[in-house]
Amino acid sequence: MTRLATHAFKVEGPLVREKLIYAACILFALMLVRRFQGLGGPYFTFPETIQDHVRETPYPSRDAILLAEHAATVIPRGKKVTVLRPSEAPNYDLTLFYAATGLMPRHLVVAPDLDSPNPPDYVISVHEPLNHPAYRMHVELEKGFIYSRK
Amino acid sequence: MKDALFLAGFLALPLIGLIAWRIEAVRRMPLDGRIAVAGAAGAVITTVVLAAMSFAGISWSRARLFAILGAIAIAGVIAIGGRTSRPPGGRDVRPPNWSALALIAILALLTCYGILTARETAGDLLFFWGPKGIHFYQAHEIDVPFLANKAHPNPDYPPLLPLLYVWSQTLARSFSWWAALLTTILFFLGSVAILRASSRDDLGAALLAGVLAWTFAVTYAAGGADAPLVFFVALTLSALTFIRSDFVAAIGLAGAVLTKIEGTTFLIAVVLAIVLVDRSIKRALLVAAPALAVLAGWVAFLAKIGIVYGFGRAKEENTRIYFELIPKTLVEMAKAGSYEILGLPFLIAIALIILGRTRRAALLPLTVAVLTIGAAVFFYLHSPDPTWWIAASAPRVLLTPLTALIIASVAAWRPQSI
Repeated sequence: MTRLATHAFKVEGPLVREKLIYAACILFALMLVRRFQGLGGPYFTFPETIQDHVRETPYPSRDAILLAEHAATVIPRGKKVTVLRPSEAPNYDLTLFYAATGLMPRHLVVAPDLDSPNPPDYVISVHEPLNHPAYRMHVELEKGFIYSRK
Repeated sequence: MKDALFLAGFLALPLIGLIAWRIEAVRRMPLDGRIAVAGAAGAVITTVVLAAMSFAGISWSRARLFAILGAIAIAGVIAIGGRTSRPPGGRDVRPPNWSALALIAILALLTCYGILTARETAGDLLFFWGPKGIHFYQAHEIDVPFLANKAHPNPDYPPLLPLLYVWSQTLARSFSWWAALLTTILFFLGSVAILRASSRDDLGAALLAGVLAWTFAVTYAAGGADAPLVFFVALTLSALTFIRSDFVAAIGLAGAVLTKIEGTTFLIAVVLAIVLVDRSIKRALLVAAPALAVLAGWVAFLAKIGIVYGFGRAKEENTRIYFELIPKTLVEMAKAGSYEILGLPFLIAIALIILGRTRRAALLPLTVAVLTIGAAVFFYLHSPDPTWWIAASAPRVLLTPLTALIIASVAAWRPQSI
């Protein structure tokens, strides 16, 4: 019986393999479509940023991209800049300033620490206004604010 | 235009690595495989040239890079002497499996859609791979002050991807985030082409395409270094398993160690696998020699600028291994390796190996898979609570053993006559 089954598999084996691989690939393709649909629309519009659809609800770093791109054009080159969400103090989300390092290469982008002996000249505040005695609002934008040191 | 030129930098890599067509085993491959191998060689050559210039204090200018890399490309053309067709005996023994090729095309198109609608973007592209490439380009060298200020993540990661981004910016004159994302599809197609061309198994290549399309999407691989690492892993193991070319394997290993720290783990696993399976220490060392040389160069540079972190963890005081966490680590890794689809990528590869007719042929990639999984467990056991670390990194770390398993599953079904 075992020998018969082994012989049968030797003959049918490649066919079994073929069916397994086709089934798996079709499943992967269908699951991809389902996953892309689940990440939300619009589905056929070129996104504004490279992070638009990585989650159904975009990460704050998505808006940090838009703010940093704008800030790069209004903040003088060489100035020290940081990016933060004020409500997260003192454990700021570092990915916001990481994102700005690539988008503002002509500025000195530093980790958020507004009370350090050598504080940033400008603060990009994502989503929320910043209440800090050493900074005043420079620009208000749709996704946040840019502050400069007084 | 900027995006097209940036992508052209990556598309030009096969020209820079055309010299690889001198290798007899490569000349016998179908065209897609030959282009992919030349692309891998081009990526390694470009990285080594840019890094060597930076180490020597020679700044990168457009004229210098075009002259040096152009000369290498021309030398490659002269070296192959116009022999772009395959030598006799290199013909495919089987007709193309059009259904499998159509599936590969569909999966590649779906991946392109995911990338171009920002559904697969690697956070690491935005947080450090892209910034490194941009700052290096603007500094006209490996930007040591940027790496050494300790404010940015993973300054000591190997330099291949940022340096390829520098080369692309040299053509485009600025960074293209979208083209950087699209390079992932090139590495995807390159991996599939290498497996297809070396194994002559279109169905096996379709399986790799399916697994990579899905895992790249759920691990958010686009624009990061995981796709290039998979590409070099596929090259190394396909070369060792199917075409038995130590030269080609050496190119793949050098690329792997220049891409990610996991590439070094992979190097150790390959050396051990060759020693265990082929019983040849000499062959293992020959295959590993170029990788060891470029790795030594990078680590020496890091030591000189004082930022050996990941590579230097063995020296840290807290070297305790939490053996009591083995069960928990394995459970967490299994969760990460399920890839949100019940572990199907691993399960199908394992099933095909078990059902395979020529399991002996699968031994080397299988050994590499086991060793790289073991290495990942070993690293995670150094943390008193590795849960977050595993959840954050294991899906991408496991792409290396997964690729090895897929290659093993293809080898297990290889007709004896090839």
